[in-house]
Amino acid sequence: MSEPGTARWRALGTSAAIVVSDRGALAAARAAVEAELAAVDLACSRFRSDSDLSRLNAGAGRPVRVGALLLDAIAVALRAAVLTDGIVDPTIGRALILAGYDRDFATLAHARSRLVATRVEGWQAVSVDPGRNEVRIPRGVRLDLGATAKALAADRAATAAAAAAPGVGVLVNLGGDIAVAGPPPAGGWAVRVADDHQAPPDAPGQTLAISAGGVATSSTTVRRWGPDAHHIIDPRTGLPADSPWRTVSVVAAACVDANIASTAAIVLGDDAPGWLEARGLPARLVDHEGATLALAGWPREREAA
Amino acid sequence: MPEPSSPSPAGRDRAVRRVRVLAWSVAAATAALSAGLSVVAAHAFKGHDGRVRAAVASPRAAARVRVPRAQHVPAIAGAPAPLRPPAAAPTEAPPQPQPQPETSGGS
Repeated sequence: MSEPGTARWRALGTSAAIVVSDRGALAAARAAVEAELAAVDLACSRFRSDSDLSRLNAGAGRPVRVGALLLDAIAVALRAAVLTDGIVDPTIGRALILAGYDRDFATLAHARSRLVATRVEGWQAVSVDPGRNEVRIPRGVRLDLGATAKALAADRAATAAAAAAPGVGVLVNLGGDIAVAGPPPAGGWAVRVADDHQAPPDAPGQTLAISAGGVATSSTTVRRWGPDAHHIIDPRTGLPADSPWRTVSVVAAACVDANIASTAAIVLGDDAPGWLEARGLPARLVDHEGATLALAGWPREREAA
Repeated sequence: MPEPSSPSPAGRDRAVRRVRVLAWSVAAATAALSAGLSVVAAHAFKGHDGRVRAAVASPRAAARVRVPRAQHVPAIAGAPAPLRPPAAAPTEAPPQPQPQPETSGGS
């Protein structure tokens, strides 16, 4: 029986990991993942001046020709906006900056005393011309693909790794966004859900098993830079979401679908349980006191959260 | 050298009236120009809602204002694929899973 293998490194401003069911395939699978992540970073990073996204944001007000990868990422972000009625919206970039998230989080040390809100333009303001590979955003608007691009990268990387290691099961974990591909190990891929993707094994959480698709968790307990300042923006207010849920985990057929749903659930607040159940998405919601709510086939907990 | 003749009182009154009319004309023209430029600026810069007409603009002025054309509707806006549940529901993990669990959490 083959032994599993794992590799970890930093990418996209967060942690990256690949797990393969056969460690003999680890090098090839990792190389495929690294290539995919490098391409996503160059296309979609808000913090790289040479990225396609930075070029697009700098060219707001006129059509900008972009690469196929950014075009795909924007299409995914717009799909998220449509499916959530604008709750997960890529035009929140300026709101994030005004809220204080104006640089790579690793270098974000200050905490603003007062949050500044701005009107979020809305995804309908984005013009896409797929025939010309052109995108136009209005002046003053900045796109942020943070809610979808990392999960999309996990899906793409898992698919690429599985293609590079035929017959081997692959799990890719990008800062808590998990995608799997290929044949799963016996009993499935074990995934622990917690507030923080860097949480130690004994931190509150739950361990479950998945055989395909992806898992994503959104939380207001991480990536904070002030008492009310966190990275999940409510487009309706232009401010960090004021949610009854501190953490939401979702399992879906793809990591990006799971991430769209978990982000939307944080913003939707009290409406989230009904919204998730209507879509048949297994989910675990944790409120600010640590009480959990399992929905739509999420396994019951054996341990205290 | 002849002494300049001083204007009559009636002449001075006419001159004062002319100056007054000129001053009012300049003030009215300035106000009209300001209003016109305000409308143009309101439509030209960020924050304009193309569905709302400026209340101060006359139909003629509004006709001169260039409102940005309607946005393209992104191709994705038609009928995007719905969020897909997993092919199989997640299950409780075995007690000693191999490989070790990966953590999904906020980042």
